[in-house]
Amino acid sequence: MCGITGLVDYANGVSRSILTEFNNRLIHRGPDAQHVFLSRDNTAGLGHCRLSILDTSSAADQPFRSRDSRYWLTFNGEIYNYLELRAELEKLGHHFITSSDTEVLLASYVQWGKECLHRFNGMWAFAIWDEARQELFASRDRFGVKSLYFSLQKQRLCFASEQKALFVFRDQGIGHICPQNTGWILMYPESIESKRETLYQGIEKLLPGEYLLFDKSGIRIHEWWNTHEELERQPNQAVDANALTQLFEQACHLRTRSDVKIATSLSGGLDSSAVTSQIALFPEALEQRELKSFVGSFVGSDKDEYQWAKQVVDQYHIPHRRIPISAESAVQHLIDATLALEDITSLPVLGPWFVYQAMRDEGYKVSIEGHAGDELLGGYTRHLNVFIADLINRKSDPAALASAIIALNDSIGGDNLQRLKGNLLQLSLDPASTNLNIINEKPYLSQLLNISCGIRDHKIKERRNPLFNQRNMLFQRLYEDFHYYALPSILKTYDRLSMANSVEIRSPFLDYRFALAAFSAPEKFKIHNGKSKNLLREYFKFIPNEIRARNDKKGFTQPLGNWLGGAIGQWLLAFIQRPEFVQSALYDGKALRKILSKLIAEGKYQQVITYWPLVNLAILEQYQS
Amino acid sequence: MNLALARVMRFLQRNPNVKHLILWGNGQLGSAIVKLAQTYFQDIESLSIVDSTINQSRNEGAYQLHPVDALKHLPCDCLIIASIAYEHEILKEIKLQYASLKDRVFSLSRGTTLNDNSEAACSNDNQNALGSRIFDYPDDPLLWRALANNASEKEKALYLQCAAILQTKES
Repeated sequence: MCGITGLVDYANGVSRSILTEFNNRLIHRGPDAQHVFLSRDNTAGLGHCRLSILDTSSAADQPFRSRDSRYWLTFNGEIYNYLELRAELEKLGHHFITSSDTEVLLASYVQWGKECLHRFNGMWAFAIWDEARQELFASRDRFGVKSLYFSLQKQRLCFASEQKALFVFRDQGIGHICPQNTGWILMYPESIESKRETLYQGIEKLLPGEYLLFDKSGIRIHEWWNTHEELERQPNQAVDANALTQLFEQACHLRTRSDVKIATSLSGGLDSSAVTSQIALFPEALEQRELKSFVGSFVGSDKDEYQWAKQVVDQYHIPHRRIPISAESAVQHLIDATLALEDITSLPVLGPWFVYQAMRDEGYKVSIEGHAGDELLGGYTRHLNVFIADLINRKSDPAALASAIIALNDSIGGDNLQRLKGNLLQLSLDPASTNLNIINEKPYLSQLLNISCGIRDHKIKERRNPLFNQRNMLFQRLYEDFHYYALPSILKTYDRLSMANSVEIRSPFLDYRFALAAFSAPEKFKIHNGKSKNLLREYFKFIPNEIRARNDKKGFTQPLGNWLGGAIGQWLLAFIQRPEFVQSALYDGKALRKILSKLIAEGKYQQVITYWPLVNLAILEQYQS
Repeated sequence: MNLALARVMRFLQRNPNVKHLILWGNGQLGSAIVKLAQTYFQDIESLSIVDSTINQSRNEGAYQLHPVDALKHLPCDCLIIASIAYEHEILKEIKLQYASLKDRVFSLSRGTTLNDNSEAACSNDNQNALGSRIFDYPDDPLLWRALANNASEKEKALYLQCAAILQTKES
């Protein structure tokens, strides 16, 4: 994993010094090597900051050129099936001088053009400059694991892995917080990953499954992957437990391909336990890759899951390290973590920072993780809700309904009858309700903004397709969470926090073959007998039994309510006294300070948390450069 | 549409004589019932919402908003409890302060005083009918217990567990 930058300017050309400064903004993503390339006539420049993982020699440094120097590549990500592609390309006459996936990617593009994208199993954001056609091609992977932001001004395009790199052009009006976009992003922070716009003026993003072409005539953006269309194209084939288990094993195995040692981030939840347990079954993982698990632990809190993580490491004799995370340590990095995320979030995300920091300190550059398990296999309470709605609509299987109600009761704490009844009676039975428009309205936030706050339509494009609307509510909900509003935000968050500590994360659940199979799979592998993620519980017997039986999802979230009663609350009280906080151009600082001071004094920490998006905005406004 | 609104819909369809409708609860559910009434039951002559957060009566166009004590004088053919979270407290208050209205109350989780899902009614239904009705009333412990009577051992345990979870202290 790395950081990429690039500049194409048909009118004025590219300056090496500016390109170098631009590129160096991403050095945290690639501390191992930093290089820039300028085209013959200075029309284009590519930059790369390398985190060396496959073929760590300098021969695989980037930007990487084709043999005839026609094509130049800058690439962030991994093509896990590079060995298989290489074998295929060698048969077609290609010769390789490195053992990297970078070289295979470029050769694939040379051989197959943009069709190469369909052959890749991996995660990527890359750009290729074609000297002959004077054209830039750039692409993101299917599910947007890796980001690509760009700024377009007439005949100039600049792009980067992170928005903060583009702040180098702030003197040209690029990269200041955009007041018009701030409003709707605050109302629903997770929605930003599904939109072309960003929080910043002049900065847009390539969306997952897209590629762009840029030449003298301008920019053209195309969608090269749509999961639903792909599912519709596949013949109706039964997906069984065997197929899913094998695909998962293959996905994990591919992701252990590395020339450096590998770690796992283990929370003790089902998903990370599945990944860690599976990888521990590969003999080379422990022996050659020095597999080690890192466990973030909120010691002394009811959010702590260390006891569960320990079951995995004990069963498989995996070396591990417990990383205690406290309010006092979290407050030291709160600003750093918020700036690393470079966007507004609904809650601060602090725990992972310490896990990746520990990995970096011990020389681990690769972490294999359990992201996307919930979004594919129905791990959230809202999935259980729509599963119940489907049962009610179908009016069949009272036993399944009873199991689901019992599970719903457990998931909401088991001791709140009114809340359970409220859930059941107000559960929407209308599939279109899986769309999340209703959460736009947060008057307690919008009334504090100095700008008007329009409501955005968050209707997903698949809803224009009658075939999508015919699918059951669980499928629709999972699809939306995976592609639009839940997972993309998580992926961005973890990319930023890991790369801020120079660690690459890999997610086997995001192997496209596994994802397609999971979407096609019968419901019994998702929610069955009231159990979520039933595939993992019933069929992944390599996960420790006690973890498979867990029904108390915690999700590696910090005990923020408790922390606000201590160090984080003290930090916040000091922060809201700053003149810069009160004098914000974006929100009513005086009113917000008054509200937060009162809530903290009264110990109403859950209400304080609801104002985090504005506090987040304030941090970005004050500290970004 | 959700189960709550579907119940209100069925109730108002079966009771076309309701001309003066009052809702207790000015939240999301109350607003949804107002929309339902405006769309499907245009014969309703007066529509009012009472809520403990309202201090002074006001006209909201399609309906009137009132403080709770307005119940003493508002015309009322039916009073719907438009709050699931506070249903228990509201029913208690009706019993204590507005007893004259108690026969006109429609509670979303308890139906009316003529409860469709009384034990007598359930005992007359066969397993298939109960198995179908449970999807309209998944929150009713009586129905789950009735289903358990003729179920297999495994299903019986499930249905009884569900009934126990849904059992209120009063019923």
